[in-house]
Amino acid sequence: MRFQLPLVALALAIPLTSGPARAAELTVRLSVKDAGFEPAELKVPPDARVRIEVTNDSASAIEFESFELNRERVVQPGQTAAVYVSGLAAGRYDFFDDFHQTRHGALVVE
Amino acid sequence: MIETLLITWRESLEAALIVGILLTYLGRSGQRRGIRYVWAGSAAAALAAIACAAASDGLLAGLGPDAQEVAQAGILFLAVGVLTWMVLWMHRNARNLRGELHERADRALATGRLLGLATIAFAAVFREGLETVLFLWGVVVHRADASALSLMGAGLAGAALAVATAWIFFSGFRFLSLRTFFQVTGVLLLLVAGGLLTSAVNKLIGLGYLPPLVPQVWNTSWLLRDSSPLGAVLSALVGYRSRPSLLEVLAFAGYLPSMLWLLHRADRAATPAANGGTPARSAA
Repeated sequence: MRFQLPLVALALAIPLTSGPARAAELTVRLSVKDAGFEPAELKVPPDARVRIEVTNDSASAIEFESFELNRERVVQPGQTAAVYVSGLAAGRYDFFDDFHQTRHGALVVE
Repeated sequence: MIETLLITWRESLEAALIVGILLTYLGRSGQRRGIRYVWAGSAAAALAAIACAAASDGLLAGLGPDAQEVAQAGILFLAVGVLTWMVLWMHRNARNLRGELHERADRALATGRLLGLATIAFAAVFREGLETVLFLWGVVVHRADASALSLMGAGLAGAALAVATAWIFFSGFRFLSLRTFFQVTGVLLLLVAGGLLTSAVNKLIGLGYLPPLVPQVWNTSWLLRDSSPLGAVLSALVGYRSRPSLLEVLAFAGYLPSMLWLLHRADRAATPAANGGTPARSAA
């Protein structure tokens, strides 16, 4: 652990120095049903700090995953998990449920 | 069916590779007790993953989804620290591992370091194991019919395939001389630790605790997709991501060169007669 401390300290110091000037937070809600994501497409403006609230309304555990967004998150049935993305350029960012790969959706930044 | 197999293969691969490299490393340096501790850590993690999945409606739900993720990030940071410490310690004491390799077996690792090994194995297996168990659990609950059993079988076959992949990967290492082997695995373990550090930072970014700084520094998905088999292997071994954020790149770039430098120093310290140029013998 000894070798790791300076780096961890640095990582923790970054948000402290850049924190207050942060852009306003935008929350979008995403429900995972047995049939798929609802809505299948989320729209957000560019460069915003977005809180994606993923609620698992299906019968089994899901993994919200996106290579484009560089995020993955397991959500148990009945639970809601917040996944943050920020500063995204305009474009389409696909996501899927890694545990049920027929479920697809996209975050559209425009 | 194939999809289920591929999912568990990918989920189990990282754990299998990390445990595989530890076992290979310890086996080659004659640390039999260390090997037992790695197995014990892996077994404990597998049981803990099953217990957590079974208790997911009670215990884990009470903890809240964010706390679970923070706990996972904490386990990862711990694994990075312990892994780094182990590698540097092993290399600093490499003198004992070179010449009379087998005679000195079972002697070098103190209890604290053995527990360290068990911790790394636990962290690797628990993290991926929990996801695999949750996934398979879902398969069974979701399809309470005859197909559940065959899907479960496919899932377990995927996990077995991950172990086989790791075994094939590391059996190639047998052909290296002991000295080369030791250096290659030392660097590889630090790469693994760098990848785990990146994963931990990625989790904290996803939780909104750390800013990505720049969400996507580069995009190499045209060259190697994260979902491809090679992408999965590299993701497990060196934390490959096709679209990393700046903070993840900084964490990796801050960690790896400094630790490689410490590794180099540890190697030098371990060979006091280095100026005299006594080359290390390989194990006969």
